[in-house]
Amino acid sequence: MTDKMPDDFRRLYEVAAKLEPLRNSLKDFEHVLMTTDDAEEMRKLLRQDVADFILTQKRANSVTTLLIDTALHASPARAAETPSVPGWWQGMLYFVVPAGASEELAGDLEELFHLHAAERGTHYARWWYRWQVCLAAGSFLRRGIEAWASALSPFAK
Amino acid sequence: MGRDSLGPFEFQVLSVLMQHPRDAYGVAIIKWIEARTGKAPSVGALYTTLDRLEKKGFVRSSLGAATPQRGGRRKRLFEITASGERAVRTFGSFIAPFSPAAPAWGGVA
Repeated sequence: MTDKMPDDFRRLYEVAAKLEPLRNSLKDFEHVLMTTDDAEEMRKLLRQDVADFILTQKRANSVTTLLIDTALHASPARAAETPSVPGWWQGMLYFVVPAGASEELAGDLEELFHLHAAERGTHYARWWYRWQVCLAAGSFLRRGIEAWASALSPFAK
Repeated sequence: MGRDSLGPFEFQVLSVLMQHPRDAYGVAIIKWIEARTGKAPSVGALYTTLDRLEKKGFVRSSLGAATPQRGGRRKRLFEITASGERAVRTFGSFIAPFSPAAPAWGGVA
């Protein structure tokens, strides 16, 4: 498959192939970074060397994701494939959204993901999807807190 | 916020549902709001708002068809109720006097 590629893409593909096995561990780092994004805050929570390591991985993760996505979609075999939503984040969506709303919300997000992928590329669409899952978690958490506070309020009707 | 009052985003969603009484589902509502305001709301914010409006009795929903673009998942179709339309009109009449176009602002009525 790599024989017919231009040299730049072939080299990129070879680097991406080496990085692919690291992808799952990098996703774990990504989760930590999404929940605690502030560098100073992270240094308070973690040992200095661990925090620095994670912060380094954050930069590496961006580069890795870019490399993998670019190389995989530059390859002739993958070019014709339909892009797929980030699986781990789709799982997270079912975890953070109440069961009654998860099917239609996941469906809407997937439909918009394909629209974004067609208009602005798969890489953008994946980051957009991850961000939307975070926003959905925030929205439903806020809604839950509001309902809880309303139930406990001595001023409620 | 009172049970029958509306917030600005709730007003936007209900207004869109008034103008598009058929085939209103999450993606379509987001696109309609984006076309009018220039900014797309997040899917999570839209669904929590629609859930709140449904609890207030301002919208009702039903499950629609599944499509391959949605990974085989069904749409939830939303429709404004009569009380929802009343709430939109009440909110509109409440904010109208504060519009820059109103006489109190030196504009044209």
